[in-house]
Amino acid sequence: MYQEEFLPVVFNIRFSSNQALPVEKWRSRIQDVLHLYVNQICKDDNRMIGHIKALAQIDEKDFIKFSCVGNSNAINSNFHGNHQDLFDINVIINSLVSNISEKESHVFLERSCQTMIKRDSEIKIQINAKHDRQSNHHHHGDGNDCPICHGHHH
Amino acid sequence: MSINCWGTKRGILMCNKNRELLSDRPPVILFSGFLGSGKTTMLLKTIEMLSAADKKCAIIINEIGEVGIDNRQMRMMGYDVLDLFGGCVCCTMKVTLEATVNHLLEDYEDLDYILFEPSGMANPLSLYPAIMNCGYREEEIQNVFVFDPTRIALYQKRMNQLFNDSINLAKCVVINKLDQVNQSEIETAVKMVETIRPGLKTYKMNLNEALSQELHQYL
Repeated sequence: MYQEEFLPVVFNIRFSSNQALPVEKWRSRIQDVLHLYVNQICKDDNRMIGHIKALAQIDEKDFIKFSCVGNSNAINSNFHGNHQDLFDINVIINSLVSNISEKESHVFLERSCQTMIKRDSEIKIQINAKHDRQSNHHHHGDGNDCPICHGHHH
Repeated sequence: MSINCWGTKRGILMCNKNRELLSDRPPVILFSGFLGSGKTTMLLKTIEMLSAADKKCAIIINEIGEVGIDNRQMRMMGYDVLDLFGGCVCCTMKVTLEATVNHLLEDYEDLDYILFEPSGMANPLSLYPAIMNCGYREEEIQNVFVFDPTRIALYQKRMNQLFNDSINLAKCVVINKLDQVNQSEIETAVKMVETIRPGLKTYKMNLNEALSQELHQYL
């Protein structure tokens, strides 16, 4: 089933700087990291991006949302809130890609962050991976296959 | 904000199979469509529209992954959200969804709408039994299929069954992302829908802008 093709991986990344930077600069740098990440994924034709989305949390109400669909490497972003200068910004990435392991995803993201740090010495980036394999918990009776997916879970 | 969003953790509430069907149930609007098709954007536009009309809605969101992006976004936008993480998108979620809808029907009598955005990996066919177990008939589920025409090839080659099931259940189709495709691709998208369900209403729009007046009236 197509559901099992896509591996969900969640990353928590912290972008920081010694000086307060405008939101637009953070937006651009996060977008660059996502571009680098997507570029590496797309090098293998067998991989398919289901959806890579990210949420950069500026404060309790303000955020930037990023979205990448397919292998075209076009990353859309929407800013919601007020422009301000920030010392750091937390980003959650939810990556749904086929034919890739969690380890590979992590390596690609780490490389992308390293490249960004080399390009812009003003910023620091720290990745925290979150393990998010879906639970195989069933509700349709012990020993019985799911009548819909027949046991093919994530 | 006049709209509240609810969900429940898996297994908190189970439905009573013998419960009487409600005669005055809030309509369920189901936003179906593959990953990244624009379901969340469509949901947000619908919330805005219903909020402006002073309607009270419950919103159920199911996302794949331990940490949800869309529900966080909604929280930051001022909505009260409880997560609905259901494990396997088909079987586990079926029970969770049923419990959630029953909870809403039993505890929130003044609801005008239930809006439901499943994961883009879910086949809508697998969601209907749960909703119908709550007393809804198939024809009462307003299933809006959001079609991403940038992924025509994917639907044709790898997701053919999902596409067929989705179109067969849909009450209407929104062909989104018009700015990212050419006229020929839009026509192909329309033709794909018409081949499966001749006469099914299709709306062409960029959901990043606004709901078309026509769809506005339909909803």
